[in-house]
Amino acid sequence: MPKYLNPEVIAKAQALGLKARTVVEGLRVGDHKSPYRGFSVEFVQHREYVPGDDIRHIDWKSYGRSERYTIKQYEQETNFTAHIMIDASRSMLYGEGDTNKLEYAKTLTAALSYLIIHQRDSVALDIFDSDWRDRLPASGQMGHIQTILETLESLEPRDKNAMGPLLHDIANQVQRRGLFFLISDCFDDVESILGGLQHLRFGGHEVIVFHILHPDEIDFPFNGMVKFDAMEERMHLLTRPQMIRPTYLKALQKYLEDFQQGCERNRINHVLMNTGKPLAESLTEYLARRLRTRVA
Amino acid sequence: MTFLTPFMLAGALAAGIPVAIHFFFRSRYRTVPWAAMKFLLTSVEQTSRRLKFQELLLLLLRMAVLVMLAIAFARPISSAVVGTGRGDSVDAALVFDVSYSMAAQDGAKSRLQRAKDEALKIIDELPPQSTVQIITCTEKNHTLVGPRSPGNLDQARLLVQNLEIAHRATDLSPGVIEAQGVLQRGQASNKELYIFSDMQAQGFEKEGDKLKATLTAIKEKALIHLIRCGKGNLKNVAIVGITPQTGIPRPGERVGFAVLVKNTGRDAAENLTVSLAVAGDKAPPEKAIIKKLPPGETRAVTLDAKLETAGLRVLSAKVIQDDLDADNRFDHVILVREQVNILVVDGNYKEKDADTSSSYFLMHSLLPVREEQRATYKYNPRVVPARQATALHLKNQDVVVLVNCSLKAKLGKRADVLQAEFVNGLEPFVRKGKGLVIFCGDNVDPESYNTTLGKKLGLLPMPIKSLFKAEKKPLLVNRTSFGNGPPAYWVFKDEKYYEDFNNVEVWKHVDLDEAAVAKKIEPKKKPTPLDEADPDDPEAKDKNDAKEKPSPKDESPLSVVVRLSNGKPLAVAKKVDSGEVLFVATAAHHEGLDPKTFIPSWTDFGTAPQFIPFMDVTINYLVNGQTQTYNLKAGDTLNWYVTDKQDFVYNLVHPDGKVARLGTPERIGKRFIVTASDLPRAGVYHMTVHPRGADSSGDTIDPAEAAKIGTPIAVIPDLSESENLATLSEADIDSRLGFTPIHIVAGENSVSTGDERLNREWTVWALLAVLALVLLEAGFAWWCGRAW
Repeated sequence: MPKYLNPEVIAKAQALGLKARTVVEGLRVGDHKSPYRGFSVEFVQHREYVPGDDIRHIDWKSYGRSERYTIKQYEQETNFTAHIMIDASRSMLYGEGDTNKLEYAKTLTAALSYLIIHQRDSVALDIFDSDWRDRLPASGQMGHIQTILETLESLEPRDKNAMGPLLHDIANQVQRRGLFFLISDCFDDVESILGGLQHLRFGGHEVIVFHILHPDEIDFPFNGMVKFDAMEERMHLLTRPQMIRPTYLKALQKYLEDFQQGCERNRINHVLMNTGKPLAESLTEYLARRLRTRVA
Repeated sequence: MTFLTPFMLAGALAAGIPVAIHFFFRSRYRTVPWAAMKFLLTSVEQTSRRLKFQELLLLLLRMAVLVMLAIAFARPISSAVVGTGRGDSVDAALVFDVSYSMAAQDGAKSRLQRAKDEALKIIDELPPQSTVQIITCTEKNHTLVGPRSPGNLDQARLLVQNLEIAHRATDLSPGVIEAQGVLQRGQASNKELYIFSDMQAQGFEKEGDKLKATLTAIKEKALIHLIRCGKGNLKNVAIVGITPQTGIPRPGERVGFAVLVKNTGRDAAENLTVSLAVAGDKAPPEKAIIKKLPPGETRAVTLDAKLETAGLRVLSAKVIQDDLDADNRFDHVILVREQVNILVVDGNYKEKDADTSSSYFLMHSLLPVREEQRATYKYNPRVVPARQATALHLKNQDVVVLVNCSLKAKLGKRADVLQAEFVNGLEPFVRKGKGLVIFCGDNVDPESYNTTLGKKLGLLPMPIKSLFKAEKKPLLVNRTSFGNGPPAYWVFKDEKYYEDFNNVEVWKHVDLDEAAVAKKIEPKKKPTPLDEADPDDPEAKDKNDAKEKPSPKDESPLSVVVRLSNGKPLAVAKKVDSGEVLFVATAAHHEGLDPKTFIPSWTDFGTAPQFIPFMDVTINYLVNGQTQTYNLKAGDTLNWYVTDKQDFVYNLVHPDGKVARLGTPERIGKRFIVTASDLPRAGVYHMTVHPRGADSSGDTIDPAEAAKIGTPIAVIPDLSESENLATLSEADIDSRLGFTPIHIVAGENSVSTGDERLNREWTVWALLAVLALVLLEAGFAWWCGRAW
């Protein structure tokens, strides 16, 4: 079993499945809604008959009730292409063992990739920090999983995070509507990130942000005299963390609220992932919630 | 504020511990690589100023806790010198005013007794390990009585009980200054000064500035208690003098004396009995009664006393009855003699043509009686030509008169010059209390007089500038100027009988240089010239005399007896030790008359009727001045000139019979002197002289026996003490001192010094401050969310 394919995570996620919540454009018939409406299985709506329409699609029952010619339209199901963007900046290195943010992100990426490919959808992997570090084109082949895993294993953070321009970049590149997974700690300018995400949404993509944070970053549990060395910059700060904890938590809370509100405004799924919490639990929790929302 | 255990203040250095801890922990940090730097920076930015302020405040509070703890351990007190911190022990200085106003009866007890009772109570209340030093003080005098071991309180009690009055005036300053030194030397933690006095105003006035400065300095280190030992007005009458009514008291005569009685109290005194007795006289003393004497008034009561034998006699005047006994008795020594021996040295003596001798009229003025009465007359003058006068002639003489004597031979003139041996003998003669009169004349050479009598011997009252001669009109004597001279001469100004003094003509006189006389006059000594053999002292002939004796500069009091109408001095008196010199600026003889006008060459003073009373007053003045050295005031120093320091022992017998040995004579200049500085009590002392080895007297001797063998010395109380008996109120004292000491009235307030001592220590307050600071720090730390 490859390093980042956690059987527990895979098992739980597979049980819930992952379906696109918005319309995606695919090349084959699949589980997901296609923007190309036609005459498939899934009814969508009635529309006024206009000359030139195939009379086979006239809904006579409706004519009987309303004496107006209406055509039945059906939704065409297709497969989707998911773009998983993983943050490989140095700030993702924080944390030890399982709580390491990058490891967590890698495991999440692997799980999502497996899940998507397993349901015959395609996955593209985009690794970035201040620029694109590595990009794997979309593929639905099972062998693509192996490529993704190898890429993840060889991933080493080098630079700082600057994802705003990259989101705009990818939004311009990807024409077909699909799913975008952003896996990052998002320690960048909120407006810049939201601008990029908004651009993706404008392109009709469904965007899901997995916001990876370490428990230390959430709770700030330090005591005594601590020298904080910035991971992405050459600076440090010597302070008594217990003295500034309230203001730190306040600042973090505000940041998360601002970010979450920005996501909600753009109908972006914002999923806060605490690396202190097992990934399987966090992921299944999210997928279950997503499934409930879809049903409703 | 001072500290009982000041070394504990070193603990304040612990205030550096919080600072050290702060820096220690700042240097011991752990490094954490951190991603969410953005939020960290934001929070630090928002909180750093507040946190720094809180941190600084906490740091200061913690430092304050440690400093205050050190202060508490150092035991701060409001006033105390830095000592070794032996608990609450006290160094107490007890200053007793023993001036004789403290002997006054105030109610059932004397003021001194009240002071003693209060002092004993204070000593009883002193904490363990305390020390006591007892100091007595009067004007210009203080005595550190003891105890020898300051911690011996039993001995201190004994010393307090044995304290005695001194017949001196009051002045608290010397005792307080001594107490300041005692307190500084003390090692105990608490210092306390107790001043026992009747709070007589004089005690705060005589050296008021010094007293205030000293007490102000003491106040910073010790508690000052003023214990008032008397109150109310005293009824007091003092005898302030005895004046003989005749010039020369002679044996066998009944002489009248004016006893001066003064009421120094605030109320009139009634039915005062005044008596006068002669020591050794078995007859009852003569008495007189003053029916009423208003306050502030002095009354002269004339009482007779018969003086049986020649020599020094002690007169004792007494008055009864008032509140203050010390000044009710006045002793006075007079010299009773058969005749006054006068040596007249004539520089122009002519045996064959006597009336042209310069001493011709002078001799007649000294013997204004018939030939047959001269042998018993009070004056026994003897004339000697200047060239024949030797030092031997000075023996047994009371007064020497130099008339027209030359000190330097003139070319072409007959060498009738005084011998140097005689001239040199005049200086010790005068210093021992004898009199010298100098008349001028043609033989007086200003230069030699200035050099020899002036600079060398110090006998000339003023330098002689030149000879002054009136051309057309004579100068006249200014009779009213007698009023500015010695009181003995005031009679010539006051009595109409002497109006003709204004008509005495002076045609020629020597001009005295008043401006050249040094104005600075040192305090005079009062030597006792009893050394009869001194004129024979071969050392007196030593020509190096002037080099060894004290400076012969004019340091003695000068007085111009009378002036001429041109304002120039005609007669000038000068004290030289216990003797006196009178210099007359003109001649005793007319020294030649103009054949046509009969105008005298010098003056007609010698032939004027006023010359006889002038010489009589002069001789009396010089002779009576000799007895002044036997009459001292309590507190004065007795200087006793002795003949031979090797062979005799000198004892001073006090009025109570106590014998004080005066020690070995000391050489001052060419003479030997023994001194007795301790004459604290009034009364009649006696100086006894014994050959060395023959002194068999013990520590005490019967005063009557001492009177037989010794020379009397009368010591009177310092009358300035009773002159003003006014006391100061507490408010007056506070305003004079500029601060408020603790006032206690002896016998009324209980002297509770324990509470005072407790109140002075601020340790409890310091500990409370520590507690408050700790609570404040804890609360503030909690509020700041600080961990301990």
